[in-house]
Amino acid sequence: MNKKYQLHVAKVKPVWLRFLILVIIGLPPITGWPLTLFATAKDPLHNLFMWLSYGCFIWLFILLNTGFKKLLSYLSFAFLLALITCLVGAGIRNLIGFIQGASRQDMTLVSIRMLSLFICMVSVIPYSLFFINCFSVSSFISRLDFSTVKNHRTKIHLALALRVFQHVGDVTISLLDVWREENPKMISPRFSDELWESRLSPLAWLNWMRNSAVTWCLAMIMHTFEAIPYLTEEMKNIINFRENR
Amino acid sequence: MRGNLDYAIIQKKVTRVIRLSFNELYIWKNLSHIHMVESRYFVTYEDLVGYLELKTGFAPPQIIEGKGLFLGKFNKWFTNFEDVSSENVNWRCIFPDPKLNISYPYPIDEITVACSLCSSPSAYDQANRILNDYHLDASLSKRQTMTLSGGELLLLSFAKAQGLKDLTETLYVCTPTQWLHPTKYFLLENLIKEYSDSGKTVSLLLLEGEQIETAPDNDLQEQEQVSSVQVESLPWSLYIKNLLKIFDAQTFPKNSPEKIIRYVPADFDREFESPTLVTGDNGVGKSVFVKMLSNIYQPTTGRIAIRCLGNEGYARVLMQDSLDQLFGETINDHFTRVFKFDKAKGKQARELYEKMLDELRLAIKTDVRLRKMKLAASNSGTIETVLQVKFALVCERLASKPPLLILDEPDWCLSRPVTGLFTSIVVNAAHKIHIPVLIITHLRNWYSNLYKSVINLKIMENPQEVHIEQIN
Amino acid sequence: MSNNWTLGKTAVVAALTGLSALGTMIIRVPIPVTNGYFNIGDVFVVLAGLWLGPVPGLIVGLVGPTVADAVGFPQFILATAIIKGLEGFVVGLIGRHRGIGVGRRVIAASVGGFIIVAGYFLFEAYIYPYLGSYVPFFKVTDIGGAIVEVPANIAQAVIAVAGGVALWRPLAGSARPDE
Repeated sequence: MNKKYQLHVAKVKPVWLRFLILVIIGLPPITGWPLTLFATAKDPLHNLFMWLSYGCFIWLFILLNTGFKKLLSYLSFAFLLALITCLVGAGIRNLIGFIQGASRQDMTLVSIRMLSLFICMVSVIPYSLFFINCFSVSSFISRLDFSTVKNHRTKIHLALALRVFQHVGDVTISLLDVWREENPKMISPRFSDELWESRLSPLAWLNWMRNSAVTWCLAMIMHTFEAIPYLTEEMKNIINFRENR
Repeated sequence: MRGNLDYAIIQKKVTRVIRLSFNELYIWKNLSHIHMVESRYFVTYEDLVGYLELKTGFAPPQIIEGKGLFLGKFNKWFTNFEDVSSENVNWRCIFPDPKLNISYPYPIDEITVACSLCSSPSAYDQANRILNDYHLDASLSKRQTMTLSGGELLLLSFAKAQGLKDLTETLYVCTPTQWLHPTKYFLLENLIKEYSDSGKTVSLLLLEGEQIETAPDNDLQEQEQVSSVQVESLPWSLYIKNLLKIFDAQTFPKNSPEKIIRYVPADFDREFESPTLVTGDNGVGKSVFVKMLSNIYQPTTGRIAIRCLGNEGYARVLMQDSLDQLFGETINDHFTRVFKFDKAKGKQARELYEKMLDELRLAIKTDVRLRKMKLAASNSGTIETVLQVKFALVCERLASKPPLLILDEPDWCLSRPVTGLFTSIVVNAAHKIHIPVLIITHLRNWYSNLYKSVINLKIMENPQEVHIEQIN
Repeated sequence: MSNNWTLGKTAVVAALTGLSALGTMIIRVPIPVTNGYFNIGDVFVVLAGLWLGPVPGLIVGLVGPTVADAVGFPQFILATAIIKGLEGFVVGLIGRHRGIGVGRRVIAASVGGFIIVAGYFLFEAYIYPYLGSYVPFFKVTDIGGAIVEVPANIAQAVIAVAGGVALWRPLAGSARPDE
């Protein structure tokens, strides 16, 4: 992308101004304004077109800030969620409507509603991802100044909480690697040849689901908790050091 | 010689075979003028951790102790934890697993906070300077900690330890050579010098054999009787075509650059003899390479494949830090859970495990050094040692009949004689069922009487290109 | 910072918050009718309440699932924050007393589960449609969708109760850390 047109909202300082800019850009999904001013109850397609225009604006805004590759990754996530939600949602609603003997007009309204939800999701999800990416936990940590004794206990608690929170993410993502390695068939952990041959396979599968959920929740807890004594004792020593100095 | 070296304890712990002359070897010889350094050698990881707990008064729960014990011990630690200690506990450890030391989003944050805590006027500048001392460049400090290799994390732990120097009187460094490539040992010397110059004490806790790698005099190496069983070779071949892996740039929580690894030559089709070593510097991409072999990572473009007799599919890997993948109270419990829906394979894994233990018992009988060691030779299946856990996890993988078994740093948490024993028993068991073995290691000499071929990975002029070399 | 709130508690609360957020984010089973989803994040909220008490339960419930909702499902942030926060707090409040048995803790967790089901029904059937008449952002559910989602929320509550108690037992044993 031509750098001449690049925007740097993520670098706007002070932070509150960046927050304000992002809130203003996100006003339509948050409040509906100003799109509600042009909405009309009679013509749902008109409303759809307005949301579509807003979606295009958001995509362009993200493109100018992050580049094409990042926009694509946001969109792939948004489309995945929106497609699952809306296609299956439309299917079930139509099925319920069919059972209840709903009119053709009602069915059309369901489809339009799902379509508008789809467009709303593919606009709002990239926006929320971009919003989160505009604020750095890392720079927040680096701004924590521990060099003064004043309020250092609160800062140490805060630093520890952020540190552990980060650690949870690392642990869980590496567990996903383990999961992948241990599931060559990508179906169930870890070996399942007999499972699919059994006549009671649905029950066995449920049993496996329960066992594996508890096992992997425990694994997440154990991996996460393993580092806590090390991290906490380190912080405790820091408090002792500073208070005894 | 070091002033506070307790030879009696060393001899008691390590048995008579450990020669005091080990301390004269290259890497630690450079430190011999520093009286603040104490080094101790242990035959087993459990002995090392026990000693560390005794010295520091800090006994954290460890996953390898088993689920029940771990959770109970954690709750006990939590219940008794107080922010202010009655006695002035003053310690700083670089533990066997450096990942436990570094957990901020980016390494630079961890070092910055360490410097800030020590009341540094410009913590950020100081952190950058320290990173520079450890040859950790700016791009590395902007990568997420979870993307870093074990060696890189250990170097970051060194940098952090330097940043926190004012907070402690004693630094404990545990099993550093198991993470570091020999060319990086001098950075540990830098850290030790830094502490010693400030009048602090440094304690090196090592597993037997950790120092042998850079010994200039190989006579000692020849004298070393590495416990191992004779192994036969097994042919296998590796095929690589235009292999490329790209790790996308990250923007959350902060921008970090894209990482590209291109393996050259683009067209690689060679035959190897198992057991095969994979060697290379820290951060060269050894782990990424084996993760692609075992389908944990998919290549961005190109292809990597293994050709071997009979077995198909992807390689299975025992990662260096996978010891905590053992679920259940006992080994049997673990096999029951894992093979819940494939009892035939479960039976096979149990049989393999029993056979390996039999070989282990036999080796212990014939090796005077190992007789006093607790090597998980009991039949009860209770989880007692790292070695036992490693055997169990290897058996689980072998039971799935992969085309290749990969051992990522099998020497981790094991001393040299125990590593020799472990790998030779595993290689023999794998070869019997026609599974070749690939061993990733920094400590090539530890396997000198075991390996049959070597794959070396190295970065030349272009930092994005990893060269694959075959050394036979 | 209160004196009896130790660094250890901060660390464990942060860990459970993170686990709750990831448990909500990673395992998402979409419920198409209401555009929502169910997850296992509640397991850790119940665990926090049972193990650590009402305030940590409140924090874990308030922050963890809300962080997860911020990515992809921002419409549900308000409902999630209130319902899950309340769930953690109430579970901690009922299950906090010294020496109480597993049965009482199961009841505490079940009350938490009931809060999930009733809370989401109230929000989706009445509060969101009401708010939606003023702010389109909240116009995502109606009473029909709320009824359809009840069974899924019951399933989520059962998973939360069973998982929370199952994890609490080996972790805390017979005593809570501050007892």
